[in-house]
Amino acid sequence: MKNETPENWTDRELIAEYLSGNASAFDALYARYKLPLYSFLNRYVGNQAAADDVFQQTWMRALKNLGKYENQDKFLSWLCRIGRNLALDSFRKAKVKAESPFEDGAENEIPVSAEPWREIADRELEQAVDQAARALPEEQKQVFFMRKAGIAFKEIAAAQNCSLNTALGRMNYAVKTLRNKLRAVL
Amino acid sequence: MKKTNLCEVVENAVISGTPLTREMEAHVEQCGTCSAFRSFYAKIMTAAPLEVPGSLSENILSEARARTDSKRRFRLIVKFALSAAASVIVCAGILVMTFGESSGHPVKTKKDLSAWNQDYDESLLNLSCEVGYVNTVSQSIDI
Repeated sequence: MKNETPENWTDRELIAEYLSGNASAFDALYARYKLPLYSFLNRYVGNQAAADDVFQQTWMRALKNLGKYENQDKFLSWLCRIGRNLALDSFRKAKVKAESPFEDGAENEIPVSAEPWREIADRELEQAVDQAARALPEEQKQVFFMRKAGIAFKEIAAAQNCSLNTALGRMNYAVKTLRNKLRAVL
Repeated sequence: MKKTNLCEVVENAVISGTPLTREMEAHVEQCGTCSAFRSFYAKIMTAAPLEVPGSLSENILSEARARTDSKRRFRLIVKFALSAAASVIVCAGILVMTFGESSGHPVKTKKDLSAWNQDYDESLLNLSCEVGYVNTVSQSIDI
């Protein structure tokens, strides 16, 4: 194919290579997108066990449909769309709603640092923000958590099947709502 | 502090992640609303780094490998089936060409050959007689 390592290939090239039988191409694709997707799902779902399940199902579904997927340049948007749909299904089926922000904290290990109190405070603040964001209207919530996961607005717009301006507008509304809600905390 | 048009521009730039121009930066330094918004936005977007659990990654990657293995096996089976079918066709062709001739009337012995020659001579003789007859008839018509 080419002399560069798979890490430098485009998504389209990696997918084609994987479909032709090179399993390591998928490893590179997974390494590229696991963190933004995991970060988005973890915050969006608000429950680590359920988020892990949705994350795994998302990749399994992507693997199953990789050959049929045509718009391979927007792979992350496609992944986010699958993940969001699976998360919505899981909300409906198991009625997994956003729980107390401190419940999540019990499952996650608190990192050790020289200033543990500051980290705990930061963590609680972050969880309070995420908790407030989970109460946002669905589209705004998705934009907010995708953006927080470091996903570009272009990708978010593709994942939501809307224009860039619409995605930015949703983020604007989300931030305004959060500012009102979190006035006492921040 | 009263919100101006520039405040709106700064807010939009902060949210969209566009770098602020010098003019905007100067405005943020002087405007309490904008500096408060920038720090608020930074706080709400702060996210502790997350790690994907190793067992999850292992499950996903092993599924990906298993899928390529089964595809490879399928391709091998198809290749083998195609080459077997091609071999059968070639063998069948050879068999037909070898044994199919016995159903015709090939010349095999000297005896057969002389008999065939005799037939040929007789038919030539018949043909010349017919030609002579035709000539005679045509001449008689001319007269």
